[in-house]
Amino acid sequence: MTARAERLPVAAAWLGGGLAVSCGLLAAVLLVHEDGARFAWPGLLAHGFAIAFVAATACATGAPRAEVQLASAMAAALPGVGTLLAVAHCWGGSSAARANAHAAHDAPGYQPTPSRPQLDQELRVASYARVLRAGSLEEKRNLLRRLASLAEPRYFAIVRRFLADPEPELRLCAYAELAAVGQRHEARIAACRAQAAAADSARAAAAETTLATALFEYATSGALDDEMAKYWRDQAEAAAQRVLAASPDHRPAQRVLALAMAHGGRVEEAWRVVVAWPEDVDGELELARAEIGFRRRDHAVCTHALARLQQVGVEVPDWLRRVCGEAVLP
Amino acid sequence: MNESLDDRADVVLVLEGTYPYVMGGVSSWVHRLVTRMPDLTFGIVHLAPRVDHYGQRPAYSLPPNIAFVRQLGIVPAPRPTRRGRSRDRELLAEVWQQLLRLREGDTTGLAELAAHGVELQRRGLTGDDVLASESCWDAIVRCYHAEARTQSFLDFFWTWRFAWQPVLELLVFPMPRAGVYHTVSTGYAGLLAGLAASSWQRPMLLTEHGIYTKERRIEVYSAHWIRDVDDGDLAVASSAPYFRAFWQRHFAMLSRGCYDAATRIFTLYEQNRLAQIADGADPARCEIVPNGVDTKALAGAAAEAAATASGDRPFTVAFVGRVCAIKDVRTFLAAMRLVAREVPELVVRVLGPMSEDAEYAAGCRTLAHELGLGEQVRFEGPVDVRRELPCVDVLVLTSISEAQPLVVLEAGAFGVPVVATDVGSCRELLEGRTAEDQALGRGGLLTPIASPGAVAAQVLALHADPELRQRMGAALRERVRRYYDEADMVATYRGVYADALAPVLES
Repeated sequence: MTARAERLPVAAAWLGGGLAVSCGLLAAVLLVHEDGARFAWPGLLAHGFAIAFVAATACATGAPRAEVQLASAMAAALPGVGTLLAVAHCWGGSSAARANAHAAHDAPGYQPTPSRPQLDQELRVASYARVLRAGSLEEKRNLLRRLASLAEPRYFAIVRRFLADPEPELRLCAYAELAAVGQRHEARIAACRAQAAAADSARAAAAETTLATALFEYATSGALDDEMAKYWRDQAEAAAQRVLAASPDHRPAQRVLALAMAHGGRVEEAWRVVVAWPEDVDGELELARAEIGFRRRDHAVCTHALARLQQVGVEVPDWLRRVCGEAVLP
Repeated sequence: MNESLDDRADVVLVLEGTYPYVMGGVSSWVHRLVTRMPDLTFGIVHLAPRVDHYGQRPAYSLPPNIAFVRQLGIVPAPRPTRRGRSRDRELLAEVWQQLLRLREGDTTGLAELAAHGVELQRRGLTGDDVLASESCWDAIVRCYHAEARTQSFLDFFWTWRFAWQPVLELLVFPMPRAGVYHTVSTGYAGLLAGLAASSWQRPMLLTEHGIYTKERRIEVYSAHWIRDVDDGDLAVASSAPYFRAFWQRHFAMLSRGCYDAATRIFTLYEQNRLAQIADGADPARCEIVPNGVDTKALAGAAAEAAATASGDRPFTVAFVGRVCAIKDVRTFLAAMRLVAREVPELVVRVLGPMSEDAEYAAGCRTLAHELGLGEQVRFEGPVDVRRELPCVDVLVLTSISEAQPLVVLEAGAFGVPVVATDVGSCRELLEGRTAEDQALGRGGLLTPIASPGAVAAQVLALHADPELRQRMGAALRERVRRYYDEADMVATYRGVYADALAPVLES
């Protein structure tokens, strides 16, 4: 049984075709009848409307223009054949549309509309916490994929937890996600190291600082265990120190050094690096100063940093807003 | 199936991506099995993506009782297809009907499918012909409408082709005749063995080291070649993305076909047996035969090495295995960096082939350099572990997945303590399975996967206490001698083959 939505155009085409046939025949009879000629025009008009009706119903099936024109012309010239053609269109859709029905989803930019079961499923989705606690294997796998796709250190820390999951498959999935992060970072570090080695003296500080940044970002990626995070952080610190040995006032290197120290628990040492910075440093440095200030429980530094970042139009991270008591959209 | 008089053997081993072209634990197991039974003739049917995928030269020196090695490329280069003949249509429709039944989990038609395969061969039809048939198109469209309406048809179409092409190549492959078919994995090789056994009415044995479906599930999970439609929703769905689920189901279907066709199903340890049962294997047919090493020969080699050893070599830690992602060599290297901080004279040896995943191996070399291990780590390629293990203080195994690693048994035979990840049967190898076994003491230390800090801590613990090393080495040696002797394993399989071949020999 076809759906009502599919039957309606068919019924309409039958009606249009029937009207076209009746009106066409009536007009023909009236035209040849000696007293009927003056009544022929309403019949012709009705015939025309019926043809338009057939065309409209053919259009409703999504038929290409050429096919609609053909159906209309047939309905005009040979009402019966035209009606059959329109009905054929309406019943199965246009021949072109029918042939390509399976590829309907492959139009450029296609975004599938969720089906009703999918919508139902989405409305019943469990919270991350529930999945972590008591989700099925598949849910946990999907959660892992989702968390990893967010590419945030704090979420990778959760992914790491799955390395000790009793379910071996989840351990392997977590490993796969973390290994992918590791490989990306290590490839980047290798490239930065090669650039630093090849850089001339004018660019050496910048290249070495880029390397230090890459090392620090790997250390804080959340994908490493504590020991390896410490190892890469030490490497970052060493790279920053190399820059500062040649250019003691190199602020970006100071920033990496200070952050590496702070993440390693040497907050006061880090503070001594950043406290000397002038008021008008750029956004990244201000943010680093705010982070170190926060680690020292110095809210005044955070509030000041927030005001400055807003003033210079730099996007303020959520954590700083929260620390300063500003409302943050969930 | 087409019979070739040249291709007959008592046992035909149906293998996928392993012996004799790839070195590794499973290959080594097969090689020893064949070598230890010179009175039986073996044939090998080796499946690879393409016939020349692993080259033509075997990685092992083939023993004389291997009567033949035949290769089957399951993803061959495209060939011109034959225009559909009306007399073939009915057969092709029946083939697809059976395949769809198999897809639904109904394996009762396997014998019929095998018979259709024979008929396809007789008519000279190729896998591509079956794939290009109208019946295949009908099956695609029907399944698409039934289960994948919200997905891209193009993705569905190509996924379908990639998934089924290897199965169709199996179907039209003329399998040699054998007294018994033996496969060491489910998957495509397992299904081929099942089809051959159904076709020739012979028994089929399955020995699964790692669980194929589990390994494929992991592979499918992390595969970049499977495209997910990201709707931007942060909610956690309760089912896998469609195409990942498609592949999972496909591999599960292959395993199911193999399990149902197998007369007897073996694995190495209990956890794997339970996994097989969970995947649909009949518990009554599942048995455990542990891996084994030639303890007598290795004990002799160990004694010889001990007599010639010099006591003043630096502390040496070795990784033995293929340098590939599943062995997680990166974690090993990271751990060694941490150990080297405390033990400057440390020598790190990576012993194993580097050709399986050249990109990964190159990444490992880069990482070793990044970690500043340049001088201390030596990538030595494949070596004779009998010669090298006596020169090792601790063996480290950082695999993220294992079954019953042979290298742990080999290390045990030489009295080398092991630091291994808690995967597969490593725990029972190092700590013992039964109470009596556990009483022997621990043969090494376990760590979680992907935890360089934990691995380093365990290696340092062994470095700090030579007596502990010796004690653990001795415990592992005794455990291997008692429970993991190759002679027991060979005797079991000899009995299994004898049972399977008895009707043939009688006739």
